Amino acid sequence: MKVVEKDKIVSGMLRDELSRSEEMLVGLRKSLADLPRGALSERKKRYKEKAYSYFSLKYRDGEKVVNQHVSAEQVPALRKQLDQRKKIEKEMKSYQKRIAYLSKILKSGRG
Amino acid sequence: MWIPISNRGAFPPEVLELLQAFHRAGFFDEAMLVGSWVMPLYQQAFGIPYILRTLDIDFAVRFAARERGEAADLESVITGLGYLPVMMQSGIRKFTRENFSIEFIAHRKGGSDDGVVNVRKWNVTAVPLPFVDILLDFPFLADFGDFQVRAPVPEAYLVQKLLTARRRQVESKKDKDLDQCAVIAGRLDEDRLTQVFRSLKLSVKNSKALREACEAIGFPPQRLGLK
Repeated sequence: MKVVEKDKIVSGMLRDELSRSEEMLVGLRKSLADLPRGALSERKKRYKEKAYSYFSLKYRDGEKVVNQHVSAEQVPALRKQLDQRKKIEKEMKSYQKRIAYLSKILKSGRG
Repeated sequence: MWIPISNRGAFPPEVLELLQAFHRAGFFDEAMLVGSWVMPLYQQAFGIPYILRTLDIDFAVRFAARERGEAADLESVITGLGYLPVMMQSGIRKFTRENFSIEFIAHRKGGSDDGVVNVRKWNVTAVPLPFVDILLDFPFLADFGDFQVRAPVPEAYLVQKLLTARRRQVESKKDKDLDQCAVIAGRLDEDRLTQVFRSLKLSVKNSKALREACEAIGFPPQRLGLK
């Protein structure tokens, strides 16, 4: 007999955990919508003994790869947002794994 | 009530880290740990064994429409530990880190139907739920030496869970609540139970709900003072 069949409480907790994970994934996905995507790159140029930095945000828009100029003042805030996006994506992956794992356990318990 | 706890291994490191941070922020001066993560405390403090844990942790806060005094920015404390704030569809702001989530609840007064309350004092949002005041009004302090955690006494936890069992929309959550109640019911302090019950002003409907929940776990309703 499978564990989830054995105990009503345990199987209920697994189902609750699955639904909590799914809800959290929806919330995390929503958080991503407000954040920029892509990678920030810096190009350095020298002109008459002086060094200049040019920043751009490179991201994919369908088939196209877009290189969007970013002013130096925007860079700290943008870096923070891109970092936040990475953290959210990492957290989403861990929830996706958990959802797959829990779905498998609950499915096998029913089978 | 103050109870020294020597075994901090009752909590995994991530929970311990969170509780210590909340203690430093002064959160446990008035708010408390609730939900299934009180069970490790009950095991240490009252010898109530319960091994099942969830991956979310709940805290109860007092909410007043006009809050006075300043407190710590708890959101900064939590995000400082690496948690991400997540706005849920319900409008509540939860926090998550490596699949572990944090949520706040507050007392919901009868008739009120607020979906979420903004607890400005702590810069968090909370889900208003009925009978949370029972938990907040009967606390004990678990003392780990260098930090303390406030939680409801088991008798208040039991009565609150029994009262809310019938309102649970998800059957599995109701089963889990009653399962915890059945374990707690075996180790009750009669004086504390009487104190908790005497503080209640129950409607006929709630008395009936309490009686039904008592019967569901084989707990004599007379021990609560119900006829």
